[in-house]
Amino acid sequence: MNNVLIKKDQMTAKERNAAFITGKPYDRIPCNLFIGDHAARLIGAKVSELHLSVEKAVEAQIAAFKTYESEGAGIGPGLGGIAEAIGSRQEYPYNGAPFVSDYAVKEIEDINRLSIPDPIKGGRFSIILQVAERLVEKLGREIPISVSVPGPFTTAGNLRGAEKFLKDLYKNPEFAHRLLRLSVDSTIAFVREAAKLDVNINIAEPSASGSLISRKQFKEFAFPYLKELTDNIKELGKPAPSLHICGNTKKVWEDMADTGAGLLSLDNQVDLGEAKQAVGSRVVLVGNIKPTETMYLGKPSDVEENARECLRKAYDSPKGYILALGCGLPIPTPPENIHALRDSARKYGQFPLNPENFN
Amino acid sequence: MALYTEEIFEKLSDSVVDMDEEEVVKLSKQAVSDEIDAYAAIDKGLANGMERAGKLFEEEEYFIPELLMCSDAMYAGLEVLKPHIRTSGQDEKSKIVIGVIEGDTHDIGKNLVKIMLETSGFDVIDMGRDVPPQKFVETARETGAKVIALSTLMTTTMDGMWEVIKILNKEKIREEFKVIIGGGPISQSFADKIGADGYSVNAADAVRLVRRLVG
Repeated sequence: MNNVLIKKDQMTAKERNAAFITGKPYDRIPCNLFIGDHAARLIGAKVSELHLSVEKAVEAQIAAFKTYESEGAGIGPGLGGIAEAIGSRQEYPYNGAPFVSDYAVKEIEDINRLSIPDPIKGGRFSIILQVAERLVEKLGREIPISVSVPGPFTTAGNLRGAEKFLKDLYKNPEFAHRLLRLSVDSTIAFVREAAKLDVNINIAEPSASGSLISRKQFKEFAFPYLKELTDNIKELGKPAPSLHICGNTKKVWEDMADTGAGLLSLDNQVDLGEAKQAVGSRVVLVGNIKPTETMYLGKPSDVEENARECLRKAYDSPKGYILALGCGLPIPTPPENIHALRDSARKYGQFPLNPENFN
Repeated sequence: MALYTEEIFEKLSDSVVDMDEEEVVKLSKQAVSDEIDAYAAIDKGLANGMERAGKLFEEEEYFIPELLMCSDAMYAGLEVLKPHIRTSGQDEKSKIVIGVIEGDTHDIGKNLVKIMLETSGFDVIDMGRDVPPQKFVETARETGAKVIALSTLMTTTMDGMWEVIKILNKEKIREEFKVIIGGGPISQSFADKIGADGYSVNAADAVRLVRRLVG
């Protein structure tokens, strides 16, 4: 395996992405690093500053592009950001991801005081929209810029508290649907603003995980709202979004594809080969390098091996395959592992793909 | 009478599995008025039902919402029965300090582990969520706990678990506690890396792990 050469890229990430979407030939397998809050380290900023300062957020993404040649830059309200704009409170640790610390809907009646937030001024929306605009300006020629929004099920959980919300599914399903309605309407309002920029829109719906809820619950409480959100994104002239759901999603792959998502971003708990068999002919598969085992705890050689394993399983997925992490990158990941992932795409993912390179 | 008592236990267990809080309360009250041993009703009825629910979860018949509903039903029964337990003759329970590490508020997993440990007879001290590492150590010391159980769902906060172990080492009290960890991004190799005593993949497994460590 060591005699495989690292070839220089022939295309910018933007060109590769355009070719990928339209089914034209491209130079090598695309690779999404899910840099996230790790980028704070590149500019010596606090993680909190990435979420609260337009300048720092933009600077961090530019640094990630320069250091790791990231193939896309993303920004978004974060998993709790829509709920925050509606009325939940978030905290911003210096060295960790933001988290919801106080829920807007403690009692059922609380929902009556809430309404769809202003899609520009609500919560941190104005920061996110400004960052997205600046990223389009600064990096948009070379790499695609995306705005990622949380799915309605995740937002509802962040309005109510996940445990209460999951019990609402049983105790008071009508109320659960009201929370979901407020969540999806608020998300769509924000997406309409974001869609005015030259960005893709993606969806992360971690709470609708098969590790948490059954397929029946997914179909009743997650699917209809994800589909509505996806339909809206497409009606705004955007490409079909990528949909990420954490944990074991095997039993809802068909449903995930039925939402109309163009790409399914899959957790390392599932098998890419099985996903290819199940839905590879309908959606692009994205994944699923192990964030903890490989990226955080492993060595560059482990990253290469994990990348080869992913390629073995998914390189011939009919709708296409993107090498990426199964979930968010741990902030203290050693930089050499991130470089190793990028280089693995170059080493083993040259087109035409040759299984001999990664078998 | 023995037959009748067994029937009540079975019904209690079934009602927990069926998430039927009202029925659990009704049966618990009936057990009290019939002077059935409250401890046995908890152990063979409520806890048995929760254990079955945990098994259904492992078999992917039940998911988190169902487990939460079962545990609500169990706790409702517990409230009725607990005051009637005759305290003598029971073993001293091992104490376990549990919580979600600082910077993280995802506590469903922690709550389920707590429930399963409690129903298995352990004395669980719940520190809640967003708990600073130092606080775990202090509380474990003050309460004489044998086990410190740490949970997190996020890759960004998992290093806080390491911090707990570092503090224990620094204060030269590492040997006094078993540290166990769990949560979405956690794995056996992470447990090995930070020198934890054990990792479990779900709540039922956590009970087996604790039993193995402290018996």
